[in-house]
Amino acid sequence: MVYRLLTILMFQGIAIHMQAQTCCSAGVPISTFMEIASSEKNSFSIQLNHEYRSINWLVDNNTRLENDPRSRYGQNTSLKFDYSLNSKWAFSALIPFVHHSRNTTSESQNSFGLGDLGLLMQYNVLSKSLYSLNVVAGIDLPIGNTSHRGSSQILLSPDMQSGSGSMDFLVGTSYAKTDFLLPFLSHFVIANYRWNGTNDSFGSTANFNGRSFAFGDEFMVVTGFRYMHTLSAGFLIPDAGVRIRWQDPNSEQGADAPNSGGRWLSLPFGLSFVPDKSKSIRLYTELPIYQNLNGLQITTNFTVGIQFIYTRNRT
Amino acid sequence: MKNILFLLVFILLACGSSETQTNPQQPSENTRGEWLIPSEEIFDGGPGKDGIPSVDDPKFDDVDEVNFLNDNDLIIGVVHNGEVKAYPHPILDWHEIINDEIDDIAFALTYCPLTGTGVAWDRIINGTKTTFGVSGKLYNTNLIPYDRATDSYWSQIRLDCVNGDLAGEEIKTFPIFETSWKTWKKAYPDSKVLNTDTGFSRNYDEYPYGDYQTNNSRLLFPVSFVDDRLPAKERVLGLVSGETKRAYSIELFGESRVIQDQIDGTDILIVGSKSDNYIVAFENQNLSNLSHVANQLPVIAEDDLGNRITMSGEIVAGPLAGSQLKPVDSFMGFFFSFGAFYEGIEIFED
Repeated sequence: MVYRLLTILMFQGIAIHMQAQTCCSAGVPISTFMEIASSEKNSFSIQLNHEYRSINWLVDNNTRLENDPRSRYGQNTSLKFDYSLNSKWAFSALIPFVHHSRNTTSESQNSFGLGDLGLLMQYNVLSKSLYSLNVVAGIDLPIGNTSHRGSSQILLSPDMQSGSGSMDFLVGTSYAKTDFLLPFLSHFVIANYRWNGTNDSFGSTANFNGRSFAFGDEFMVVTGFRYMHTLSAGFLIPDAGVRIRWQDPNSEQGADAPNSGGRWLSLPFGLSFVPDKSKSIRLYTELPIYQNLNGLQITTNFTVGIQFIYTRNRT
Repeated sequence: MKNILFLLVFILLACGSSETQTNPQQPSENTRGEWLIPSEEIFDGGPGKDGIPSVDDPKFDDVDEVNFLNDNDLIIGVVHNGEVKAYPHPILDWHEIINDEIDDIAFALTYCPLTGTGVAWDRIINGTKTTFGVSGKLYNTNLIPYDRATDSYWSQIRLDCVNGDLAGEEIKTFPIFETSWKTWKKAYPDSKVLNTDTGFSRNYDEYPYGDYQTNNSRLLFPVSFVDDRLPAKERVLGLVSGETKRAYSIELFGESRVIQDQIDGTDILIVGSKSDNYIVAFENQNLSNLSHVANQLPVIAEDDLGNRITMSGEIVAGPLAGSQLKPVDSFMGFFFSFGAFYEGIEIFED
């Protein structure tokens, strides 16, 4: 029973970044979690996630600069549904609500609305008591709002919109091993790549064709450990890892946009409490430790979030 | 089931409906009325209002103290009542507006890196000295400054107010000229040069827009009219006063050249040099048979009476010594921007 639960929880809370530009803040996707669904047949889970991302470091290539008149933050509240058809196939849907805030010494702009709908399917290639290997593929459907307007009714920039206006694709894989070095310690590796489509009609009206914009494609690897500690009232599961992310420059009018894209290295930490197999709550944070960006960008200085999961097994 | 319902209620309460909020510090922000330019063609550049910080307390070095410029870096020069100041593009690229004063004039040097246009604007608005800031908005991929006295928005290339209390008013400009650091050092070795002590830490050694200056197929935002008669990024002097708009390409000038032309019935004088990287324009007042003067910067031209003219239009020798040629409203920029703002602009050809 404990091993089975550990397998189910192995990836819980580890970002696979299905969510992309819908949650971008200054080129940084908010890591709405799209973890691997349970491999239990006919299980259904619903997950509520809220994340706050502070975007207040001004970085020129790999050097932090001072005196930036800007500050930004993003919040993302998402609802996610997972369904495991059988021990091999699972499906997920993610509905995000996104809040962007951009502040300068002269104004404060906020946008809040529905993000793009994420759909993901997972195939379990290998599932043994101590090993698990999955592959995933997904799509972002552009149902989010891309018409948020700011001061003087001027359309806000694409990274201030809650939707992207483009269809995006993701593929990924995940591997995990339980009892790694120690009993109840698991090691995981997740990698994914996403192609971000182009919105060719951003800001278009009856009299204006709009502009072309695309967020840069992205590759991400995260690896780390989770440990399941047994309590009298359930389980306590701390996790820690390292995330490396590469993102191509955004595209404006078909050409690379300056001051976008780069490489990021960060450390995600989390702590889950699992009172029983059907419920869990997780608090997490992510701290950047290194960036090497293209040009000058404001970038994330910390992320915190909370996640509730309810799982129901129909068998 | 009760748990699921709880989650759904929670998320509905948390999210509410889609909306956008603006909390401007300026009370007139939401009541500024109609734009005089098509609002759907105005773009939020991303950094937000004052997200690109203007330099409001500029500091200067002597020419021989400057070590952050390369010979090919461009300079915008202002000469007024014997005081000479240089504003390097590598600083303007990052700040776009320098609020400064020379003698009795208070001006904002506005520069748009995406159109390559620099114009000096009077900072006296409605009788009040103010400063200009970067609104973060662009029209025809060109800077829209705002004045901090009335929070009105202005179009840099149109030279008028396009939104706010002063909508429709034209801006008063002061003459400037653009050249390379190499030429500037020779022409004005005793001038003052804006230094990098701007109050902001930026990498002034790095151009922030990649190959944008030279890549003719790359624009970051749409423009209302694409004029492809010249390469998009070809540097031209655009004459924008009066009814006739006319562009003079730097490619016309070669080693050096003087063009005597006429615009709206007024004789004008265009002096330029591709190798020294400048073009300047003045009304031609009683000068005849002008020829270019080489290697005597800042003197660039001389007439058959011996009147010698500098880059700023001062006559420093000859019968008219001490007088100043009247500048023509003009500024340098990428050709595409003049083509977008002034559809059908004349292109000077031999």
